[in-house]
Amino acid sequence: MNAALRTEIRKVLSIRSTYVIVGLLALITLIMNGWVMGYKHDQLDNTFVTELIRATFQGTSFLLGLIVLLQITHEYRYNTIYYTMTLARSRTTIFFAKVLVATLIMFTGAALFMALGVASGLAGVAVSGDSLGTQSIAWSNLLTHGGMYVWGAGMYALIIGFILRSQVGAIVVYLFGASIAEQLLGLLLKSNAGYLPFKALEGTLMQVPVMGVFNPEKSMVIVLGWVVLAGTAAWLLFRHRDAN
Amino acid sequence: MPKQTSVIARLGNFAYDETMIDAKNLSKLYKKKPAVDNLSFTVQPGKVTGFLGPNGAGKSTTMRLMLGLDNGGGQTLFDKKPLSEHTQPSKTVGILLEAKAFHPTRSARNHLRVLAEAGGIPMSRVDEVLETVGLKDVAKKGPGKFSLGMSQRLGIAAAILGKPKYLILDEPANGLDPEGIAWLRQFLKEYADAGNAVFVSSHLLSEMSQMADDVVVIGRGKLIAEGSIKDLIAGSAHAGVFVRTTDEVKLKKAFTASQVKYSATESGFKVTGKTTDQVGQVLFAAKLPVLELSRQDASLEEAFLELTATANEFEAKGGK
Repeated sequence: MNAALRTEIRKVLSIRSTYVIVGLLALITLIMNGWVMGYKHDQLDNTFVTELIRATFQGTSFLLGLIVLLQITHEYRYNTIYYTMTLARSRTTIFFAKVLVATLIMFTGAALFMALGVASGLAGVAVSGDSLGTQSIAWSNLLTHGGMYVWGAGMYALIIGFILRSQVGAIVVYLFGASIAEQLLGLLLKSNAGYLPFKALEGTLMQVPVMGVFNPEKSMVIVLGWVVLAGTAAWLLFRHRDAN
Repeated sequence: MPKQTSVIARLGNFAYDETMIDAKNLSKLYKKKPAVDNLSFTVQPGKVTGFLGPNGAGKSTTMRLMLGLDNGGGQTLFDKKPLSEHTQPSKTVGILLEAKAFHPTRSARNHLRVLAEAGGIPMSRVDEVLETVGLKDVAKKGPGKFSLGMSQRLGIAAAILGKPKYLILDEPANGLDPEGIAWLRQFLKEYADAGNAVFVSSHLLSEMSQMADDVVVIGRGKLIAEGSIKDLIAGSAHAGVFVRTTDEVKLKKAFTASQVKYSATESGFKVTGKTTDQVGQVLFAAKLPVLELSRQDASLEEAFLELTATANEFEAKGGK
């Protein structure tokens, strides 16, 4: 397993797209947190930093998930999957190595951008000439809910990649298709729309009640359920399908 | 089997008295149509074994089945064990199934480092194999813009990275320039001579005839022939004895009387099923002067076309 983990990390760090996405995320974070939320702030109350962190999670998770999605779809697009499968003794090892590395990418990325988001937001406030009062941050809640949001976004990306294998198809479904389909399904499900995977993910960071979205705790359980269910399907498919 | 014995004796460090790669009853259906049909063959140590078949015969699918990449029937044993049961698969089999199997922006060196990491191979091997295949100067470049020949070289570097006992290569000569093909031929021969088994498919039959010791020929997923190239060529209907004399009418009569099978060519006759000695004796008995008498070997291409044509004809009848 250690070799598989090191291999997956090396794969992610040795391609250009990883750095392009990270650069793009840094730019977005600086603009959104530093400029929009910090420099052009409306009001500076005691939840300002909490909002900065929450905004960073929401703004960066899906693009970070793209790195994870490419981690598997590149293998099929460029046919390196046949090396991956013949060099490891078990497909299950490969699957779980990718899950663990995806988790590592999501949490490491979220931590880095959280730091950058807060720093740029505070810098924006300072540059604007205002000062920040005492902040009240419910770290436990924020990190639990935010952590599940970040991890869920990464796992959804990985699972979609494993199931679809096509790079373009997986990106379209992950970034657009699923949310459009859920919006349409939400019209049918109404108050039960919160059971849908992406709606539930949205719910993990929700602060005020919204129609069709459950509270963060219930949403977290639903996200976990989807990850386990769809993850099991992805694992079985990965084990039994032809490697192409 | 004296030849095999000599190979085993020469290898010394190999204690095998059985085949190294044993493919048994490989089968694969595509849309209910057999792509590989109950295919069994063996690949011997110390030899380059060519894998021949017309386009769509199932060569690539067979190789994927052997490696467990595709699901299907049968199994392939490497030293009596499936690949998944070997503790370090990278030291067991090196593969090249597609020339362009790499991420275009991951440098050639990093591509090999990823494979070395996955296979538990020392990183020092990466530069060694880059040197071996002549890609050291472009090691830092992304292979996305590599020519087909350079991509093949990178694929071969990946295959030999773990110094595996078996090489399974699908069309490795594709895109290589003449110098590259000559290098590949020499390299594979030396690799096999070191006691390893090389299983290589190619549609370049002239190349294969120079490179391979044994061949496995398939058509429509079925085994057509298996054995040494020499035997394959010797068994071809195109092999025979060419003879030229002054009196063709008298020679025809002599052949008919001696029940010799022959056919007229532009300048003489081609006899099949007889040796030069036997044909010479017929001419001597008929008191005919010998202007030319020589053995004519079939080419691998002729033997291959003959074999696969028969298989196709058989398949067509079977399908009715």
